[in-house]
Amino acid sequence: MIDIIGSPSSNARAVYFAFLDMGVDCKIVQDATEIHNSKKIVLPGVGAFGALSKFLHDSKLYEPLQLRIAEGAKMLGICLGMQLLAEGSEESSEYKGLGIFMNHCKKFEGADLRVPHTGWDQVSINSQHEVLRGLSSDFSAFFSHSYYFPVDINCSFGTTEYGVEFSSVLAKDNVVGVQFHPERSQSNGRKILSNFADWE
Amino acid sequence: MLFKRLIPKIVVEKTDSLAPIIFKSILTRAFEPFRVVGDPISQVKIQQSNLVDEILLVHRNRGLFDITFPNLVLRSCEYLNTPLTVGGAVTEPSHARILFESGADKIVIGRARSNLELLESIASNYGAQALVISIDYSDDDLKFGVDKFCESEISFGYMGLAGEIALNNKGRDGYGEGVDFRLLKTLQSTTKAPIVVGCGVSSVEHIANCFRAGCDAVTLSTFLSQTDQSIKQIRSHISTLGVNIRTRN
Repeated sequence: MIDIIGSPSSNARAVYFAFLDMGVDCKIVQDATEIHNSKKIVLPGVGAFGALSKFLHDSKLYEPLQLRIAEGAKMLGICLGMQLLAEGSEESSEYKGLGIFMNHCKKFEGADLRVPHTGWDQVSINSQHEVLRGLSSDFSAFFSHSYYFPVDINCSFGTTEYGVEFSSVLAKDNVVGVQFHPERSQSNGRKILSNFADWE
Repeated sequence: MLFKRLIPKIVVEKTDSLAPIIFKSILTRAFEPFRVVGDPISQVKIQQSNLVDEILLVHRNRGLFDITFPNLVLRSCEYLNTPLTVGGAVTEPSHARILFESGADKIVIGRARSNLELLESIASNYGAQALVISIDYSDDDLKFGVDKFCESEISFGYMGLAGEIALNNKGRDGYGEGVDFRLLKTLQSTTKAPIVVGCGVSSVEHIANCFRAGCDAVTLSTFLSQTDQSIKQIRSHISTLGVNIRTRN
């Protein structure tokens, strides 16, 4: 069973349909009591860093999520959900992330850079990981974001170049994060979601 | 490197009959209904199997927002693992909310100057990347020049809210005489948002011209029903013209 955190501004429904289509058991949860036994959690995200952080605090999911991760539950953060795994973001400095990775997200800057970074772009795999099994070392995926997670050799498993090289796949122990939208990235995205579902 | 995008546009309109089929997909000319194509869900499935970059689903009946359109979005999403942008009937924040909950990734809003509060609400709740602002204009709007028209649009102060700007010259819609991207350069110097153009494509050369001019994406509607090339062939054709477009998954 995969629990998908359904914050009001997330596209939890799209992630739900993707797992359902693959025959993976999943449900959308919005309450702390629903995750205390979770083995696998997906944190999708669309919107602003502060809004999602506030939702996790207001719905009392923030600490239970950190606890489940510390207890070994597998976790997948998608897009903003991945950025929430960081300590914080330039987007909303007054709000905190889950602090799984001790980094801060930054805003894309550049005279000729179109922002948000919207559309299909290449992900280069730097280190292999369970959830990247079966993907070519340079695969395309759908992105939609204005802030990025800087490259950190300790946790960047995949990177993408857009004015700056940034982390598009992060991993540490039982936690992974992807900056792109696997639920919208056709067969490449499906591979990642199905690898996550199979991850032991 | 970020790929240029091709976005099939599926325009839907309510049928006169009641259930089971509430919406029909149509082709338009100058934004007016021109011909019925069929069932929108079939169109969605076709475009999904074509592995297109993104799908745009537009509800033509303005001011007629009810649960049937979000239901269509929800049903479409069951078949999609491709980004979905929807719009055309959204006049209130609650409309946007229910469309996002139904699975839309982005919402497109037209007539921005009279919808500022709605735009602010979407950008602050869902982020700019979820908001496409569509500037639908006619040649008449440009009678005092491109710069004057752009200046006036910019003065309404909505450009900074947009995750993308769509440019549609209504008079060119459905006629296949080429795309109008005269506003492109002026707007690109004002906003950082990616720019999508549409209306007027009837050849691969038309599409390539948009990309060469610096557009980030092109929407296609009538062209797709009038060409003997599949989307895959179109993509590889565009790629051979030197445009950075996705030719494999």
